[in-house]
Amino acid sequence: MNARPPWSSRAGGEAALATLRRTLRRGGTQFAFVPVVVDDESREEVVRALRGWAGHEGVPALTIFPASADGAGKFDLLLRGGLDPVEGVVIPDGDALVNADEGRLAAGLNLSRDHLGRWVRGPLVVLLSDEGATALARAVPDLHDVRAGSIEIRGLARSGGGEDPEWDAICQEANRLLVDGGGGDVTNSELLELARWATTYGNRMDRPRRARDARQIAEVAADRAYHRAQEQGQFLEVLEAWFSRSIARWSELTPDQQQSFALEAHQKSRDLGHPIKSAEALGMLAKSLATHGNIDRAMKLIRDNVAPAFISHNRPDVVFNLLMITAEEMMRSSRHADALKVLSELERLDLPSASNESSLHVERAHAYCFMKIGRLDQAITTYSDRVLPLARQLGSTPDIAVAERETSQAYAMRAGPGDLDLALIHAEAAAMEAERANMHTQSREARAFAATIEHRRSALRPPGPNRAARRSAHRQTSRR
Amino acid sequence: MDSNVDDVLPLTRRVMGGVPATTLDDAVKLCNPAVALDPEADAGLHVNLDVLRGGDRMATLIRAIRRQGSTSSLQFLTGHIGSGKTTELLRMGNRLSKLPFDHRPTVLVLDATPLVEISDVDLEDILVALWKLVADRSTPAAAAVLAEIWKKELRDAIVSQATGASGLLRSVVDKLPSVATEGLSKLLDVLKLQPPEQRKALRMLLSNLTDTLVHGLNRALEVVREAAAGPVVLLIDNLEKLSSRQREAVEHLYLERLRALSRLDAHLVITAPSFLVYSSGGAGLLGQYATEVVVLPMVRVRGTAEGGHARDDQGIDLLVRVLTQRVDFARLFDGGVETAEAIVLATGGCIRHALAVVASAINQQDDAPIARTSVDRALGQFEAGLMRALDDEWLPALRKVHETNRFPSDCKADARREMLRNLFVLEYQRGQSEETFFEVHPLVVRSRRFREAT
Repeated sequence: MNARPPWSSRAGGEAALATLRRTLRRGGTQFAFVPVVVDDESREEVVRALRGWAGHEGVPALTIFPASADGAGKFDLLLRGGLDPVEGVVIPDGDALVNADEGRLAAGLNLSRDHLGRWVRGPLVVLLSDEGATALARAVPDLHDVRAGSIEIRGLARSGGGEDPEWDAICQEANRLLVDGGGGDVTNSELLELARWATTYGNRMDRPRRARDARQIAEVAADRAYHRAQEQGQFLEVLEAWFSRSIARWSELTPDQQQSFALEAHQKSRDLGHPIKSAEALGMLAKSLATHGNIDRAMKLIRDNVAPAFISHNRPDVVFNLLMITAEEMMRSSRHADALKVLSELERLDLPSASNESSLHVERAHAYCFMKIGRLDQAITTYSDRVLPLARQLGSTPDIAVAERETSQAYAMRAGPGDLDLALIHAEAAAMEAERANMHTQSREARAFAATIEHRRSALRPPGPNRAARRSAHRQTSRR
Repeated sequence: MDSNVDDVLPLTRRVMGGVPATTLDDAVKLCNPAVALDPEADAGLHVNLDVLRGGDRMATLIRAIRRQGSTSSLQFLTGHIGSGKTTELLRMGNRLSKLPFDHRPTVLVLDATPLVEISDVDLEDILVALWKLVADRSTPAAAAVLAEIWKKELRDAIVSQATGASGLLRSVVDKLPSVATEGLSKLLDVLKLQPPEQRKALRMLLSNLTDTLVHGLNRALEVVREAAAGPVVLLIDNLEKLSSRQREAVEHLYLERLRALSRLDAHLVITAPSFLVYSSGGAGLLGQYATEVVVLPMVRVRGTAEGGHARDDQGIDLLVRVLTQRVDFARLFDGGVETAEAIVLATGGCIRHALAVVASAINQQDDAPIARTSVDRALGQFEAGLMRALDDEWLPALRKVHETNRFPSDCKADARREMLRNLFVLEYQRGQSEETFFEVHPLVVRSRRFREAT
């Protein structure tokens, strides 16, 4: 496994690029084998940078071979004396080098290691994919053993900015703590905080790749904290890091592994006299049970053991989050009836709601689950009476857009008298709010949905109220 | 000592400010893992590690050569990648050249790489390469002997053997120059550069002339011996880098075909792939040639599992000296010598890995002092590079090696060979009386994949 560090956003990539430049400059005109692992997006930019550096400020002149199998062929020609010796070489497609001539070129390269300086007087830079780097390491062990560094350059082509400020902030923090070393002053609590942040982000992220990247950041940060704490003999921090690391990897564990981990964590925490951690472990056990079909046992565990422990320590928010995360996980796997059971537990515990945002979150989950299991009246009531007013009260345009869209869907599904009109009104409102929130894709989708409703409606009966009349009706609904 | 090794500039002459390096640029140059030490010019960088490697192993070879005098011998030198085989072989040549006059042999070094196609090499290639070496690098009288044999016997024999060969080979052989050095170069070109079928055809042809090739060499070596009043030592380096893909072919070459070299009137020391020692072929290597295979182990920095992997302070100190003789750590690194020690411990006694990490850490920054985080990052990157070739299937065996310092009995020979070849497992031996033991490379041990392997 060659883990791709997700925090290698542009900043990390540029730092690695600077390392490459120093390697070339300081190596000078002395043979050096410089394998560089690059992602597809960065390859072109790395080659462009190498071209720009060549022959300037101490970097030797670099001959850049074609970025295809031809490059391997040309390099072979050089080694066979068919070309004049060069100051430095860049092979943009190193993967082709490994397989060229059924591996003979690589075998020859390995043997010629001590004589490559005869043809390449300075650096031999080979750009490789992850897979290519693995294959090369195996094909040319002697040459690989004299590599001048192991440089990985990723993320140079990623824009990173603006699309998701929270993700950018997580990457920035990961760069600071995990790549740059935090100026030599990293604390375990900073690493653990990053692990928690990235885990939480990853758990609510619906883009699989981004979620995986976030979890990887969390895992690496927790892993580092774990080993540092072990070295320092900080047992509570070791426990904390152990938790964080396992939580980050949670989704990759089998149900048995999850549950045995949770029980072990529960026991360890009790042994260390840490009731909150012990309750946290039981919460994880409950989450695993709930996710894997044992919902009633899970809710009982939360009701009897987890909630009392956290509430007695003035941390009802932890119980709230645990239940919400569990509910969301069920919603993601289309177990809406089970998700409603979890949400009911939330009501039953009567936890003080931390904020209007949290309330909106809960109400929307309720409404959505009602809609998905066909309890459309309850869904529409919840959307109209609780979700939409709360969203408007918060003034959060994206939330309003989503709520409008789902309300529209609920009306369209029920399709009773006048429902399609209202569905259309809410769909158009969703499009408008999405546009205001710069959610262009959602806006387009809402408009497409509106067009579909319009089509259904016109097929069923003569044209209804005109657009102005619909807007007026919508304003009245909003005021309610 | 004469050799066909490239005339490369010794390390100490590449730097501006002398040794140990006091600037980052010089430090990177002195820590280039791709450059072996020159036995004379770089003597100031060399640290004698014999005490940590089971004694002066090269002295064993030198003694054998001295004692056998004019009786020829064939010996093998092997060890991990990066254990310093070339460095030690060149130093051995240097030591032999400085023996008292009455014991002083003539030393010729054949570097196999530029002369033969290493992914496809056989006895004939080596014999022709040795002819070329003696013709080019020994005495004029010996060269004259070979020139004469070439002109009067060998060339004609080759041409007559080529009757019935393919048109392509015939066209090459018919035009073989009558001047020996040119003719030998032509043969080597065909053996190295031509398509496999043509190489094979030429080898078949030459295999019928093995006796002539050996006999001719012996006549030339006799002239060298008489002129120098001492034996001839042939050091063949880099042959061990033969492609592991053709393992059977390599075993066949070493165990069967190299036997012909024992008929040469010279002392031969040949580098051998370590897998021939560690696999069943190892016994064959010893049995076939009734000789000792000298293994260069890694330098021990920690003890066995039984002793709790305790630090070996003597090993650590000597390896720290290897680094501090090249780089002024106190001036260039945060933590000074302690940082050098941390690098030594993390790289498990692999000098080359330690040097690579030093250079890589330096390249993380523009200016000194190099922070500990830069060293950590360099170690992390080196670990990632090392782990690339590691097959997950080997992890259980690696855990056993870490726990017992031995390979588990159910570990397949191929896996064992690859683990050693790729330096996932390192071989150590402290004193000659001490048993060899194995340990997993510390950078593998600290990796997450290893730690989480069950």
